[in-house]
Amino acid sequence: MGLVKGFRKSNHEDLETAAETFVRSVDTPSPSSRLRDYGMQRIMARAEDSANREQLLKTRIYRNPSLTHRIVLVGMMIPLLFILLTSSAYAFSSGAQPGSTLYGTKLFFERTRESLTLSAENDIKLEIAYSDRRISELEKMSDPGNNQGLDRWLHEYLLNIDKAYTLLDRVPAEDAEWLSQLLLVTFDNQAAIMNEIRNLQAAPVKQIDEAYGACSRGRDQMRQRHGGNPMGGSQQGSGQGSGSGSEKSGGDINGGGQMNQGDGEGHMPQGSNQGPGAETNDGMNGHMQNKSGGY
Amino acid sequence: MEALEELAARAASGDKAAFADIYGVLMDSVYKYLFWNLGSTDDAEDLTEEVFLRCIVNIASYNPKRGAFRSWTFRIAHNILMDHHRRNKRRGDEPLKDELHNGSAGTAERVEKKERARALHKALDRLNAVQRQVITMKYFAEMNNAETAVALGKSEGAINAIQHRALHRLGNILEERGWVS
Repeated sequence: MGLVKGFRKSNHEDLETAAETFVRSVDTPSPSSRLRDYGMQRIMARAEDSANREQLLKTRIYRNPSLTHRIVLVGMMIPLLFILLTSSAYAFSSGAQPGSTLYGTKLFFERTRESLTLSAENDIKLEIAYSDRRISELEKMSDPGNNQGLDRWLHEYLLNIDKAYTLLDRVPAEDAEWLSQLLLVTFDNQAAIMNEIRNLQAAPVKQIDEAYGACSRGRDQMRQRHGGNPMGGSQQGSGQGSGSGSEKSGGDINGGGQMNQGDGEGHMPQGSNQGPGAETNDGMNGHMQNKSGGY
Repeated sequence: MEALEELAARAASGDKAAFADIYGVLMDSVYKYLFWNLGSTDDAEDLTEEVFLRCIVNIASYNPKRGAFRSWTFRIAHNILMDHHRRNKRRGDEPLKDELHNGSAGTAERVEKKERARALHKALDRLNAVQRQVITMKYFAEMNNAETAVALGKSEGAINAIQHRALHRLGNILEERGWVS
């Protein structure tokens, strides 16, 4: 090769010394004029750019959020949006009347709540509350001639009271006792209100009549539960208790008295003997059959 | 010429001339250190520029109590070199070959110098990373053990031991290849 190899090793240290001497003997290629002559200028220019960029970043108002931030943000927004939409829908639909577009939403929330109720006792209370709500709806749409949505209203009302009966068999006997009393009072009140509404109508409304009939039958069933006598409640009520509900329907007493003859269940003779409340209670059934115009 | 630490303090307060002086003093050492770790003049020049750019951008954070300015600069150089290796995954010894072949038409003396450089580069390639760092800092960047220790984050004793082991290994490699006997 013709190269100078003038480094000799005698021992360990000599080997290191020889290596050190070799390293020192090697020249490093010189840097180009780009670095030597203009490097400083380039560096200063880049430093200024860098400072400007940093300043720009500091003054930037909005920075794109990272993917994680976006996911967290969206994850938080979805439940918030859900809560907002649900509560808005609930608020808007709570005053909906049968026949309006939001009535279905109102019923949806009612059924959702029913499905979330675990005990039969609470379910019965809920059905009672909902049947009262149906009566309120009926009161609001009781303008003469306004029968829009009555079919649906009737369907929902019958559903509410039917569920209440059915669930009564699922609760323990001691709870069934007071719940049936509660149902009895409720039916008394509802029958009285329906009777008043019927009195305001110019002509018979079959949906109200049907609802009244169902309410009356339910009331009788509750009475039977308590004493085996469908009129038992009324007999007591004539002097106290449920008698107040019956008094409300005093306008129907006469008509109801006439209808009692055609009731076919044999209740009215007793009721009519005991007082006006008893007449009212079953009077509607008779009226429905005879169309005597006792509104 | 003022001490590097004084120049650094002036540069930190915005004195460009002071930084130019620093550049004049350290550019050659940084370049050599990078060249012997990269094997390419182009890469070494690019990274030298990066080192001084980072120096001027961060010069306000330099604290003389924590070490010499030279050590601080070489710490930056070391970090940039590690980043470069991480990016490239391998050392570029090909460019060195190109540079050696480019000048092959010169005199016998020039050819010999390039052969020596190539032999040393190959021998350095066979050292581990720390040994290579120590040899290049000590013999090409002309740093003492204390400065090298600060730059590499090790003790002076460790640097001394690494240096001896590296030289011994280099001696063996060069001996195998007939450069020392």
